Amino acid sequence: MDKEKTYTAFTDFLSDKNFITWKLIPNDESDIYWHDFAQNHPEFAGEMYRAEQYLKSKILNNQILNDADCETLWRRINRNETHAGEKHKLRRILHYVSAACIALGIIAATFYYTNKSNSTNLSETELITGSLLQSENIQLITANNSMSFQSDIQMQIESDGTAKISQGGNNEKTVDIAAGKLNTLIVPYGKRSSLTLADGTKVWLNSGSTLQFPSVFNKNTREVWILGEMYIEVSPDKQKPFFVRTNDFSVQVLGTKFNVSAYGDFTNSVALIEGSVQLKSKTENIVHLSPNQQAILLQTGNFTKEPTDALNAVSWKEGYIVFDETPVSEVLRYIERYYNLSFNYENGANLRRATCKGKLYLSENLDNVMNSIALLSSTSYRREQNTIYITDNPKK
Amino acid sequence: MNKTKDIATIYSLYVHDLSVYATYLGMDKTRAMDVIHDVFCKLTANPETTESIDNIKFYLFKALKNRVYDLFRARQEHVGIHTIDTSDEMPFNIRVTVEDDIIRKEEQNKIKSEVEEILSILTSRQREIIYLRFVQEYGYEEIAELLNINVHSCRKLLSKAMQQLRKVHGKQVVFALFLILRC
Repeated sequence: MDKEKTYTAFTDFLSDKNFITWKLIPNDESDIYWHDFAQNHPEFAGEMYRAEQYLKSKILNNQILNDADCETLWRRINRNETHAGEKHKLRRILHYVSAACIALGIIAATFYYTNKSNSTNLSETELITGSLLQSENIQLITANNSMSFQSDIQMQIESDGTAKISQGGNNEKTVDIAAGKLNTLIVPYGKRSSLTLADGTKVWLNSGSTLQFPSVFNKNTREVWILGEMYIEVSPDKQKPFFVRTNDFSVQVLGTKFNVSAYGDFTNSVALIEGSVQLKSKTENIVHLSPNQQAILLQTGNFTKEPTDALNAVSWKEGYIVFDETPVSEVLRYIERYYNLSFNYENGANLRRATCKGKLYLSENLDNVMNSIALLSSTSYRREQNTIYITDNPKK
Repeated sequence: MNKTKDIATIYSLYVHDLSVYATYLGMDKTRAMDVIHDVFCKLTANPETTESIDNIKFYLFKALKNRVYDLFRARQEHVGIHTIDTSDEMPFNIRVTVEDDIIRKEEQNKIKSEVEEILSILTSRQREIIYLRFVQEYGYEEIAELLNINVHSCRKLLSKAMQQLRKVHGKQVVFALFLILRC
């Protein structure tokens, strides 16, 4: 063991565990030691100080963003300056609405204005900008593995503890998933996926959803956890009730088809297509649903029940959605999620009181959708890389 | 009028620290930028706040942490639905960087591994306290607020960190101390 460490430069202090420990977690003991050291070796004072500063500002706090990043970010902040907190303010959401409706092609939709004077009088400066957000991958996390996929996947859990995964009908691959552990499938905004569980139950996951499911169900019950929206066709098994759990409520079923929407920040609802289900909120409120009924969870923890055309609630899995006097705020949220977009809406507030009625085809090609919309709505549309600009002046 | 300029100054002063903090809290670069974006948009929307805040840096750190925490909870609440556990820790991983032409390569590696070894013995919370205290030079009160714990537990976590380190390589510290006391 060395009798006494020899220090010549600041790097010698930095490679000394005791020095670093003292800097990070000083205590009386080490304070005394190093203060004594500094007093006995004034010639090192400069290098010690340099070591400390280097540790503080370089080693532990090295820049993440380069100058270009900082500039880009600053410009982004400035653009959004006038509507901060966009995602959470209803006021702002209403501003986005016409952008979303126009931008995403409610081709067969009609707009109703509650305020007539507004509807005829679009201001000259109407401009809507929208940005395509960076796309994220679908992720599958199992007990011992984690995979990511760039495009929508279809997945089938086999009884032998493997999963077959395909993307768009090809590239099938088989992966092992450990029994008895929960797996997580994360579908980001702009993506969708479907899977068949071990008991034959089929699940379609909508954008921005996370599903947790076991590889093999246990003896007595079947349980899955969802955050987001899914349509599920539960395969009948009277011995093993099926539970769908969300943060705020749970659904108990025997064998049935229904849609669950539980994004947390959005209306929590269940629409039943076939069979019967029992819903239970966190506050232990219970409600039973019959086919073509929809239950909406209120903030109070109670459910309200209303008749619905349940097929409309699951049309998203067929590639279209149906709106019926739907508040624009809901339409907007839906569309932002589906396409992974974010709209900024400064001067396009005229459609704010609109509700939407009609069918929206969820086309894959945004440009196609945009162009037809521009024609239909007398707007003009321009896209510069990932930013969309919509103005009310049609191209002549 | 001056407000924008002020915020621009604030931005250029703290954007690096904020991005590092967000990254250590588990955000990737894109997410870190998004979170900083949100924090500054909130600030620019209510420019009056900059006047009422006496410690703007702390305000920014706090706002950033809250935003990151919300994102973390949103995922955690679902994933960890079985274990409704309030002690669940947010990750905090310090990226140790020693890349500098003025330091020789083998020395770079040695320094990096020494620092990493020390940090690896600690928990996320301990690492966060150390980062906030040593690098950002916050006081215990502020650190406690950022971690949502009381000052006492904050100090306790740090002294526990010392014990943990000692258990692993403490003998060397004691030995060195012994040498110094002798001479």
